[in-house]
Amino acid sequence: MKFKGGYNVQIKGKPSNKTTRLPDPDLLYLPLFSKRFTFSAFCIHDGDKVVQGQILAEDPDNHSVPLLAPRAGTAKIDPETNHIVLENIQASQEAPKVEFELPDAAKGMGETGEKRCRLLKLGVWQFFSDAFSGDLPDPFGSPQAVIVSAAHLEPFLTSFEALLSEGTAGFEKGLEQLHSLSQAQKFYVILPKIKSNITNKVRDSAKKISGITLIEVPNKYPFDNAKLLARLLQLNPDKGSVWTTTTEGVLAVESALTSSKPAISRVISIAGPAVKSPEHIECIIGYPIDKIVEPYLETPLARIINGGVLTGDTVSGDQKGLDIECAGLTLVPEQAKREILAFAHLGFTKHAYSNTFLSLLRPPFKERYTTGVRGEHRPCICCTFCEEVCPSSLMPHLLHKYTEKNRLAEAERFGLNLCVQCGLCSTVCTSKIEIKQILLEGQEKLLQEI
Amino acid sequence: MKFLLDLFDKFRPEFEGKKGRLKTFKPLFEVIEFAIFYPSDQVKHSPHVRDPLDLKRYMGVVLLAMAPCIISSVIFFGPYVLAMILVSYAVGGIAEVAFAIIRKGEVHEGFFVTGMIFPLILPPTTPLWMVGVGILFGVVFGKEIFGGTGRNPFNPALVARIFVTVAFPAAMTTQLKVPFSDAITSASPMALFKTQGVMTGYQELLMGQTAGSMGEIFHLGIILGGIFLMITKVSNWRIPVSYLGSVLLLSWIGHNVFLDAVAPPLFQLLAGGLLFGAMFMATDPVTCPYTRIGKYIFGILCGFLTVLIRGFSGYVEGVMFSIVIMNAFTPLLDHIILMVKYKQVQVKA
Ligand code: SF4
Ligand code: SF4
Repeated sequence: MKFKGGYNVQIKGKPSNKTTRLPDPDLLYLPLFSKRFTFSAFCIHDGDKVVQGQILAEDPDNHSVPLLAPRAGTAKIDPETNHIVLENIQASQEAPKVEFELPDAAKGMGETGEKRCRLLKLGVWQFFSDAFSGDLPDPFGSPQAVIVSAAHLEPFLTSFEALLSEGTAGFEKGLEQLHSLSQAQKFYVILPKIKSNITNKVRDSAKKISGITLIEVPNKYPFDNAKLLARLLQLNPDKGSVWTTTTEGVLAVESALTSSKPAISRVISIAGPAVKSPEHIECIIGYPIDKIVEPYLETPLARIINGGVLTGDTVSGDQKGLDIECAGLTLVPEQAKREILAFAHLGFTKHAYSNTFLSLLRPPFKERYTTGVRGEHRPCICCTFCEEVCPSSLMPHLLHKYTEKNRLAEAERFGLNLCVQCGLCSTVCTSKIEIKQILLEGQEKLLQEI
Repeated sequence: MKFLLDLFDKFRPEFEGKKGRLKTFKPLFEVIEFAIFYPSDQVKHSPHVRDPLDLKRYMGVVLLAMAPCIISSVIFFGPYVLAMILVSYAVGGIAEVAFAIIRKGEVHEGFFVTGMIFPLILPPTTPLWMVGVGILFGVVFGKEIFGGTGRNPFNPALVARIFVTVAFPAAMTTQLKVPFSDAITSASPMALFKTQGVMTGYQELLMGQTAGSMGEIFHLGIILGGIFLMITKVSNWRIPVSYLGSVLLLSWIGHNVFLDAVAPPLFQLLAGGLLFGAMFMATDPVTCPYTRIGKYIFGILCGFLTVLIRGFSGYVEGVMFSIVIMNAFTPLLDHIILMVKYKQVQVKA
């Protein structure tokens, strides 16, 4: 495979592999929404007492992906804030074995159908997505391939080293289980080319299982991107879905299938330039975000991002608790001050894609980025930096011009649909153009047209 | 600095909104304000962090790369050079601001490079009014009528230079000076070669001790500045390399075939405006192709035209014409390359 473009933004605040377990809070706020899901079909009534692992609500548009109760307690549905608030929380107990009825789609599949159903009902299926569309794949479908992207390369999502710090046995078993239940012809494990104990172990695990192809990618963002990998692996979108998941998904598969554990807690990173000592935390879904963030916050004015610094979304005031899809909280100081004569700074502390700052002469370092746009919006000057970093070998400068002029047919011809939304083009743009956003809107318009 | 910021805050209402008494001059106010204090805008969409390089720095780096040319001109020809630069900035600046006011837009940084390049490619004796007329023409007809920075097909400084060459040919070719001397001459190295077959020494050429446009003669400085620009990634190495490479190759062939009509390769490289053109003008990202292959073709054809005009036309120098001609072909070049490239992709997808 030939990789082009890509770029590692040298940003301060990488989380250590240490994982701190957060004690249970008094109240849990379970958001009825997340990036892909809306849990609109309630399975309980307001004020019901619920048990740990019980299904509270489902997303009817997404194969009934469930929202589980992370602990036993009293559930209050709060339609105004779009949360289920869990009160009178009880300490973690062994979750009672959930009995479920097999859906029709699973019935003819025998044991595999039962296992897949278990993944769905225990909240593990949400760790999967379709490589091409990014949507939730059909749990009872037949994927043409499975891609397990073991490591996140975007700063700063949960690191697989932290997830596997206690050993890779679970991962190996999970891989085996997933391999057998997916029944896919092609099964890939993607690993960045780095030398570390854990990578070596993961490499060995993947090599041990027959039928699994190990693919090593450069240690550069965004070569872990499933859509990109699916294309580089020459998988055809017309030949069925491509399941993708991460190390977390594989571990959750193992927990669910081996010990029937529902996916109700997560290990996530808490990192970024506004974090005091970035690390990982283990906490349950619905954990109040302000409570998570408070002890880590270094600067009072910081943006809380649900996900990585390049693709995550700002946590809006409406979201009170950790949602089920969060793969890390990134905190970036908000730009507040106006820089004086910034264009004339020597730039020993600035990290640029170009070599226009004197930091070039320094040994490698990480910059304390803020959310500043850092310049004025200008017309594109065709510096082609965006093209150089684009992992999909596109010409973002060309695409954004066509898209902005609503000439979508041309944009499509020049590869608009191949954009994987990695955000690198917007990051490096000299003229501060929101290229990624423009392309995203263009892609959405194209979809509507179809 | 707080006091300065307060000052801007105090006067801003005068330039803003419907009620501001000076709202017409908002672009001017913004140029000054944003040059000193960067806006504190925060990004709205992901990615949440942005590269520190912006257009001001980008253009600043180009000016920095031209510093050897600027400084050497002042040393060689005295303070009059500064007056020329000043006039160029003043007249061009007024034109820029005027257009920004008419368009209710902003003044863009590209002008700071245009305003500097133009005087540098003039003879050191150019009357100040001529500098003013030239830059005015360049800004208006080379850039603004096309919609401003980023939309101009031609390099505005070159448009200005071609205008003065056509309008005032004598001033551009016969009123030259050798550094540190007041004698007026027309004997630039290129002219000497063309008319008398005399080749100026390489050391003199490198150190700029010849007659010519004031910023174009100190070739050692241009080489250093050009390399600096390529290292910073502000200029794309593909263009200077293919441009200079093709001049070297074609003039080597031409010199062997046509002997005296075509100067030998190294002389071609170090005499006249080639290095300055290849390093600072052909590389203008707005007016050169954005496709990679296009850049190579652009450079090679520039080289071809330069050797052709230098060797076989009535003009002694062909750099500016070659670049402007190729500027005109840039959109076509990119278009053809895109058509070829994306035909393949479509077949694959
Ligand atoms: S065009 Fe798309 S894939 Fe390319 S850099 Fe921009 S966001 Fe990434
Ligand atoms: S990085 Fe920005 S200015 Fe440069 S070519 Fe791309 S869109 Fe244009």
